[in-house]
Amino acid sequence: MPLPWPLSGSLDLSRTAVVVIDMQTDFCGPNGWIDRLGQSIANTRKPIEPIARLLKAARAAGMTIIHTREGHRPDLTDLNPVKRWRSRAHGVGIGDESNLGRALTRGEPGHDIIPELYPEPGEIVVDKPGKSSFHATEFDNVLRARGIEAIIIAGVTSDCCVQSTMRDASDLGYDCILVTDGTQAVENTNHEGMLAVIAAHGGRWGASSTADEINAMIAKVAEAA
Amino acid sequence: MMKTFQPVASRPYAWPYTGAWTLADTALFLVDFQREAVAETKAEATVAALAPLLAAWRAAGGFVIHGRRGFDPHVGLPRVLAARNAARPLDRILPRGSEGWEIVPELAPVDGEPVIEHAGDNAFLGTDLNFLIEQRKIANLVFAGLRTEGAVHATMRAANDVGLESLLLEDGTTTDLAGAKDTILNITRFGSGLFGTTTTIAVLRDAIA
Repeated sequence: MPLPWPLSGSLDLSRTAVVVIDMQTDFCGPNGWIDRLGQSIANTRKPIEPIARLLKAARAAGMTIIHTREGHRPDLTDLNPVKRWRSRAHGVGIGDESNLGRALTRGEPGHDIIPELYPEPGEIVVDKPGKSSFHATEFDNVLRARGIEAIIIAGVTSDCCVQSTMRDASDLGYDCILVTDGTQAVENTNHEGMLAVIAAHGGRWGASSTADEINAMIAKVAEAA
Repeated sequence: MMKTFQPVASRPYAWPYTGAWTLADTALFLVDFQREAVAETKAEATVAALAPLLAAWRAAGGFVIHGRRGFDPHVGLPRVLAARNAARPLDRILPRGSEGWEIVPELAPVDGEPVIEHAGDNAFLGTDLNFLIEQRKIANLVFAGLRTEGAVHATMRAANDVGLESLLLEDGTTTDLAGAKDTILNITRFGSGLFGTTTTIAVLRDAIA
């Protein structure tokens, strides 16, 4: 039996944030890092439309919207050696020249968020050097400063940064819901496996639902306000 | 002089990536081999398989860290975590000191081996784990533990973010959630080792023999 979301029983839009993880050209745009590695971006582009609808609903309701970007300082002082080694072993090293500037490097075209989901003025962008949005960032400070208690998580990839962020958010006491059609992985078996793990035990780290179902919840509360 | 070991055969590459390791820069991390978790996941065989490795590791002078999941009953869990925890019959976070919370005797900590008391899954959150690792200049972590998709994976993810080189023992971890172990092993090895590499207990034992 899935547990309800939010667990408090009533959705408070002023205490709920939409978090869109790493919808960057390097992960889901043509000529980005994943594309350059020769891996398909077909899967990582699937969440674009559902996330666009979610952002539309959240903007209309005046909710806190946070976008994250994975990437490193141009001097790479925040790139740990094993991450650099593995990315080079994989084909194109982080910080090395790729098709759209240096891969996953802040300030480069490939590092930025795709035009379809580009942040609007007033929306928060958190740059992160790791997989978890909480690692070595101000993400938790931002959530606490806004009084956020529940977070709606979308983005890529479901098996990597989305997962690390949702797990840490859960451990820290945030009430999470994963947007099932608003997230994807490069490899579908990993994506499906992760959704199954998330759904186990009634939602071990949080709930799961589709963008349209979440949008309907947001709209219902926004209309009543 | 501490012996330098050759890389260990593992997937998707020989661990560690630096090409050499010692018992000074590496720790064996036994995550949450607690009575209730061992019983629920039927991990008795996993425990039995790990005991000789633990003995060999200790005999060689290796450093061991233990994880023990639980919450302080005087504090409780964060509200949301408490509600989700109370709603599931299995994989419960237990109050510290309660029945089933203690580590099974076969893998129990000995003097000098730190026990990380963590309330959530990621043993780095709200604990001194990273501080201890930095103080000892640990670069590599060998993981075994329960459950594969739970604290083991959450902690490996966090170890990866702080730049540690992780090796997961495939037969040193298990779970009662069908399909989850394969999912986690695949994700761990995805690409060129998204969160580290994996091998077997026997391969690691041979490496330190």
